[in-house]
Amino acid sequence: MPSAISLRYRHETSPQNHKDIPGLFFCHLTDYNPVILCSCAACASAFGGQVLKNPVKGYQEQSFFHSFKAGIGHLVRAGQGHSLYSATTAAPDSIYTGYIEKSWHKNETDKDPYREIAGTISVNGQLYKLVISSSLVENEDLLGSIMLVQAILLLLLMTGILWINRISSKKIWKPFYGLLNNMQQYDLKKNNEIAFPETRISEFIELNQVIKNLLVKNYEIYLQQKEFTENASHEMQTPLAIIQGQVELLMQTSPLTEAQANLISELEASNKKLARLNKSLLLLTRIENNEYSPAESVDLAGMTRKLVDSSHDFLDKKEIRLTEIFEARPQLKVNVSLMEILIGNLIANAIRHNIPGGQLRIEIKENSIEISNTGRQKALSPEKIFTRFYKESSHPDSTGLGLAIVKRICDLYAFSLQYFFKEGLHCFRVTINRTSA
Amino acid sequence: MKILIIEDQQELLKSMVAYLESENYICETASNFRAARNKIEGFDYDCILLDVTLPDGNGLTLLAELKKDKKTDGVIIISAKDSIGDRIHGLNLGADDYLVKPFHLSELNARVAAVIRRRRFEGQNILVFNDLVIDLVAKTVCIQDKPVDLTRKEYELLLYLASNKNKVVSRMAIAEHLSGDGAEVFDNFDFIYTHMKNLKKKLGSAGYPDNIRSLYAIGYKFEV
Repeated sequence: MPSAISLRYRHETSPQNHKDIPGLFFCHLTDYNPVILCSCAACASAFGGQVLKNPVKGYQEQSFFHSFKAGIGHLVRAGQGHSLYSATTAAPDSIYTGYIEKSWHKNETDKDPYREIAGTISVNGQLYKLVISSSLVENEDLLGSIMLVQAILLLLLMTGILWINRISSKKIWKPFYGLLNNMQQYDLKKNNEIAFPETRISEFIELNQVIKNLLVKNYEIYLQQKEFTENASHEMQTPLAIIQGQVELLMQTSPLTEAQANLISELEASNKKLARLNKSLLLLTRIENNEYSPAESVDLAGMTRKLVDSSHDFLDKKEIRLTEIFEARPQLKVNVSLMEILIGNLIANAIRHNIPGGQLRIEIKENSIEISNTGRQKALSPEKIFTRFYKESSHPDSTGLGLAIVKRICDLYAFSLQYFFKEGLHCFRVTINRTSA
Repeated sequence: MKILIIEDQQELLKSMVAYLESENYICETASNFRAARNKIEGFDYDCILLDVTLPDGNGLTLLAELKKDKKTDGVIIISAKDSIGDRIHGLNLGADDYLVKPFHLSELNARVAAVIRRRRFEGQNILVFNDLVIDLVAKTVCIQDKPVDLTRKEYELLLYLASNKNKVVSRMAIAEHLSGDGAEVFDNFDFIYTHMKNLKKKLGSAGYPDNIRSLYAIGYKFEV
């Protein structure tokens, strides 16, 4: 900023475009820009004001002159030129605008404006004339520069704040995000241990504790429920077997009327259904309890063929056309029983819900098995069919657990199970995950 | 022929005894591990029906002891566990058969008969019902010494009914028997009619009187 300052010594009679403005010397400085004004005010209180109001008696004239000049010199740093002369007569303060020719540019007719304030001051009876001049050219530039600097400062400040904020919040929220991440990996069925990130923030300590308690409680309830299902199914097996036996003994009684025979027949059918339902529930619980761990090598195509063969009576009865496309003979590392149940359930469904004279298509590829069948000409809802006890049709034969079991077994081996309705066929595809089988 | 039934559920035990006694077997019972062990050590049986879960021990331990003593009693395991692994485990221990609860008494009876036949006659035997002769080894059927050409299912159906002769055998029991262990069974038993119709036709044309009686909606009875 001070680069544009010119230091000029002028003769008191020389000012051109002289414009007298009455009033106190320093008051007129309000015409200048705010920075200069500030500087003036500072100067005034430090030197000028003191000098004017409380002149120090007996002060060496010369030394005062110098110190005063030095005081005035502060203004120079704020962007002004100044000069101080000895004066013989007191003149009123005046402020005026002058122009200086740009001598270094010969062709230039422009003149740079400057503004001057001139006044007479009396120190120890000696009169001095003080002229302070300031170039007006620089004002707009100055304003621009100041704005720029302010803007840069502001920007730096903002980025700084943001940066600090970011770093600090990252540090503060670290245990929270750690916990969130750990919780996403939590599986109630496995009850894997959750690592609670260490923290000194009391809210997070509390959160950790609450979640820990919640998990423990939930797992206990889950175990109780699982145990209950298992026990209930187990306990039900014996009475079911007893009813079965008694019904059969009842059949042997004579004489047996037709009405009695029908009653017994219905009794047997219902008991059988109950037994099947119970078996399915028990199976689901056992899968969840991981009671089917030992994996053996299973020939998927061979197993499928065997299961289809055992259902031949039902296929023939419904006159279902069977198409088998075995492109590969994949060997799987799975539990035989579970795999048989998986494929068996899908085939059984495909027969049960088929229409007389319909078709059953089984396609085995290296990494998938697809079982499709004709049936109702309406797609099933893929979100619901795998839930327990959901029945799309009121088929008397259906327990509503078959597909739930299929889904559970697929989950166990990380197989993907898809349902889609395509070209009039309901299709279930199991895609084998080679890493788990 | 003597049968030992080891089962802790009294009602189930009673119904098993009732059915088997009507087949002229002599039935003894044991409802816990200790009683069963005493009886096995003291006597020989043609067939032992062994429940796996007993209140004071595991039935499979009894089976192992039996085999260690080189006893030749036939053993049928009766268990609530139906996985292939459990079956194989039981059979590997030396059991002759494995039956899953809940079961049909007619199925139990057929299996008991099969086990006893195998033990008694060392696998060489025939069943004779007047003119009808069933060769259990060759799996053939002859009427008045003339062979009758039956399909596998028809042969099994006839044998099952013959094993439960003069008893009502329910259609459901037949359906399960024909479908085999662990197979998904449908409530639709229509396929039995087809097999039954064909069997009756073949026996009739071979000159055997129609003595398979249909009992309303329940099932069938092979009368001798």
